[in-house]
Amino acid sequence: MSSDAIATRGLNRRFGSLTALKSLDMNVARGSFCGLLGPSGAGKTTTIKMLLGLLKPNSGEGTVAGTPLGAIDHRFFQRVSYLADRPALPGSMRVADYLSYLRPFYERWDTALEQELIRLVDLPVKPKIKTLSKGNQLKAGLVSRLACRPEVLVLDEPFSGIDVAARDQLIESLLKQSSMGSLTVLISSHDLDEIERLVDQVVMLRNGEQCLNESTDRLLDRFRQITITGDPAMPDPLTQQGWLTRELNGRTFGGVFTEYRSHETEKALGENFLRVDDINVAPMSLRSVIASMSSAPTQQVSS
Amino acid sequence: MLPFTVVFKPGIPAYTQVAFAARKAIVAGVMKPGDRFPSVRTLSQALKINPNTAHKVVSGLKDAGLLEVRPGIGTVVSAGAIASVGDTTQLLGDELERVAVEARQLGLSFEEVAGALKAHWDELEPASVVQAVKK
Repeated sequence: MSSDAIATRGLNRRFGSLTALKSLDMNVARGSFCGLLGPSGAGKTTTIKMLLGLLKPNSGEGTVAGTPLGAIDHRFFQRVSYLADRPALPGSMRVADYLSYLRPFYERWDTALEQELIRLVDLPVKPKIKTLSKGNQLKAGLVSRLACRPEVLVLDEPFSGIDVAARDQLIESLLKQSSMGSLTVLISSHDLDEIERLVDQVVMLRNGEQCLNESTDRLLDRFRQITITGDPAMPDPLTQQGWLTRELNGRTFGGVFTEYRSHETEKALGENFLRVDDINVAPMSLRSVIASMSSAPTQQVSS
Repeated sequence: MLPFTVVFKPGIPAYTQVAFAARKAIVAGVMKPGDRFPSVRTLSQALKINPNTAHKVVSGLKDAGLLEVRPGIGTVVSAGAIASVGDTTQLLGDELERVAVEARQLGLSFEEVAGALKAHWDELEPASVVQAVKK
């Protein structure tokens, strides 16, 4: 457990009769960027709050940056940074004053890094925070959360409502910081096209339950949108394990297939047909994978 | 600046796409034996990819014999890079079978497939790749 930056076992949380999170087992290796994904109400924010000690689990256990969830105190936040989608920053302070104010609270604050990040994201430091655009406010928040050199950074919807240039700058500053040490990032986002190449691990929640937990590469390798046109040898030719969705439309059959293996899948599919006119096997973006998992009937999808 | 470009397509692992672009640049001679290969850090920041992915690209190319570590210099394109690509032609078996199957399904003749392959082959001539990169 200790080699992981984040590890949980059987984490449960109820709100009255509602089960917000059910038996979450989650591991994020040190230095990894992990996407915490899923539809609204799936349990992402509940998970983040429990990982930061802001919400107590009803049962289960976990550690973040080596600290058990039950033992989180102020020292924890020397090593774990959190940036909410609407960070509560002191609006009447100037950016430069805000950063000077924070500096002495953090043992590992790196002033050279702070200056480098300010240049990298092109953050104006003279104006008062409340006069900044949403994008610049997020930049100010991120600079402050990175300059203290955290081991773990938790980002809740960091890219919503900001422009492309600001987003790219935020991503660059994350990658810069991560290349200088083993920074672990847990990032909850709906902007899946933006994070497809940023995250190397994906955890997906649905109705409070984990339905995906694996490397992004593996996930993209095994999900395919398959369409096959021809004369089947049986009424339902989609006999393989792994069809997440299926559509039968005249001579055209297909859907989302979750156990794709280059070559073998086409061969096995073809065997259920007397005649094949066309097989189309299309890779799926992370966004399509998550969308298909969000709308699919609830069931554990094996990996 | 990187010595090769990657135009990312969604749905294909970033590792696969970057490693392919690098191999392409090496076999086309855009990067020559002894040329320095970008560091993990440079790859990650220039392509906005996860550092672990960038690391996997570099170590994958080393394992394949395309890159080697020279003490005091860093990671460079290895002297036997092209030969080690040649040794792996048997790995193309699967790819070629797939092309053959798809071509038959589309009703293409062998000559048409060979012509299409030739066009791709010629695109990898160093001169044309350099021009393409300059564009």
